[in-house]
This record gives sequence, C-alpha cells and structure tokens, in this order.
Amino acid sequence: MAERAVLAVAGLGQGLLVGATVMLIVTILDILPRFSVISGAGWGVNAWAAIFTAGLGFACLGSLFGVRLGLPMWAGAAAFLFSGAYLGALLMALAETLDLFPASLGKILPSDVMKAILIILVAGKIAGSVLYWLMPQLWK
Amino acid sequence: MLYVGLKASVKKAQGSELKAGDVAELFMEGESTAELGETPLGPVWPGWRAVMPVQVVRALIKELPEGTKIQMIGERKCMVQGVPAKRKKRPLTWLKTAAIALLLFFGGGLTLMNFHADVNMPGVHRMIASLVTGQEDAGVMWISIPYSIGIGLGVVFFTGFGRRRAGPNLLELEEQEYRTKVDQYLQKKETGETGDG
Repeated sequence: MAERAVLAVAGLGQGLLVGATVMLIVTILDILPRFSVISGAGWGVNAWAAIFTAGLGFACLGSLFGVRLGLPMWAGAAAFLFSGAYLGALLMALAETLDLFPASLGKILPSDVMKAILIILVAGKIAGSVLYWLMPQLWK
Repeated sequence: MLYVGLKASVKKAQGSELKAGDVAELFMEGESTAELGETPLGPVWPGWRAVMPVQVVRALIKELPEGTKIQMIGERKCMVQGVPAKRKKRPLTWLKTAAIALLLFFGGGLTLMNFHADVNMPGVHRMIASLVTGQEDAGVMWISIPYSIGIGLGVVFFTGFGRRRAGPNLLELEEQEYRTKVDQYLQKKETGETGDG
C-alpha cells in the first residue's frame, strides 16, 4: 500500500510539472490567447484552455494506457489535418517570438513582399514535410 | 464651472447617436449632469474616429447657461470605435470556432504524444514502478493514472480557474494584451497616425 502511495505521489507530481509546462509554452507563444480572439466565439480564453487540456488527456489515453479506438483511417487523417495545423501555428508563433522577422523588415519591404515571403515560407514547410514522409531513404 | 474629463477610448454600436456622456465624465458643482450627458455629438462611424475636446465643448456650450466656464481634464482626445451592432453568430463563426476547437484538441494531443515518445514516458513509468515496488511490470497504472490527473491539475494550477476573483490569470492577461495590441494597430491604421498618441 505504501508503495502505491509513493507511486501515486510521484505520478501526480510529474503530471503537475508537465501540465504546467505545456501551458506555459502555449501561453508564452501566445497560442491560446490568439486563437481565443481569432475564433470570435467570445468564450474567454479559459474555455479554450479546457479544450486543449481535454486533448492532453486524450493523448494520455493513447500513449500511456494503450487505448485503441478502432476508427477508420480517414478519421485519423482528419485528426492529423488539425494536428498539422496546430504544429504550423506553433512554428509560426515560435518564429514570431524569436523575432525571425524583425520589425525593421516590415519597414524596408512593402507589405505585398512580406505576404509573398510568408507564402514562400509556408510552401517551403509543406514541401519539407512531404519530402520527409515520402522519401524516408534520404535519412536512413 | 463644468469639468469635462475626456475618456481615452470608448466602444459604441455604429450608427447610434454618440452622446457627450459617452466620451467624457461630466461634473458640475452642485448640479446634476445627467441631462448634459445626453448632448448629441453626431452618429457613430464604423471603425476608429478621434473626438477632439473642441467638438465636445462646442456641443456642450449650447446647453449651458451663459457664462459657465468649462474645464477640460483627462485625455487629450477620445478614440471612438464604432463596432457592428450585435447580431446572431454567423455560420462562419461557428465553423471557425469548431475548427479551432479541433485544432487545439488534436494539437494538444500531438504535443503530449510527441513529448511522451521523446522522453519514453511509458518506459520511465515502468522504471519508477519497478524501482518502488521491486517487481518488474507491477503497478504502472498507479503512476500513470495520477500522472494523467496531474496534467489536468497542472493546467488548473497554472491558469488558476478557481481564482478568478483574485484577478486575471496569465492567460487572460495575455489575451487582453493581444486585444489591446490589435486595437492600437487598427486605431493607427484607420486614423493614419504614426506617432504613439
């Protein structure tokens, strides 16, 4: 019994740390606040945090408890479309936080050019991802 | 003496009548300013528009008995934002909301699964379980279940869902900051200002 209590406390502590860290990252990168404003639903950012947390719980079921849903492949494709979109948002948020595009660039270049650069960047990311998955022999 | 304390910015439904009481706090020694507050200043335009003190004074002075002095206090100008009148949420908003909900749900899931795979979390849990109990493959659930609950609690502690009365949490502050930045940008863009006024 004592062993189980130790395990439970250790697990709880680990979970607390991971949960708070994940939230810190999405807060610093402005992901949750921004999506909350973009959606225009007027729910407040905490509701979005709850949805995000539900996703974390869902991941726990899959990666720790081995829950298998047995859904058709297209459901996975749909889910990963959104996962990919999230990753894209994360990358752009990271680029912004790290000042990949310094503010001064916007003053030098016209906004049309900035838009074109952004589109090229997105195209490059998609091309890179496709290349990675379709040509695995390149990194073996 | 009438004191006119101009506000920094106000939001009002576009097309409605802008009143003196909307853009400024009015105060007059020993008299009610409720009626003065109803003085019309013209319709609210869509987008941002600056209301200057002279506009307010010109409107108010007609309503005041002759010889009353007006003292301007507060801001140098008031930014009025004409917002579309509240209407039913459009299907597009619902669609966007659903898409963002799915994005955050599956995105959050992907993040955590990536992390678990990266650090071999199931292996770590097995290791801790065998370290504590001394048996292989024993009691992993006793660590994995509290861990999963802990993640939820970690989020709660971080955002402080229950402490709303004690002030905004970090997320709400960030959201407010983002909204303010967007508003400032739109203000500058629509009024053609480049300074920080």
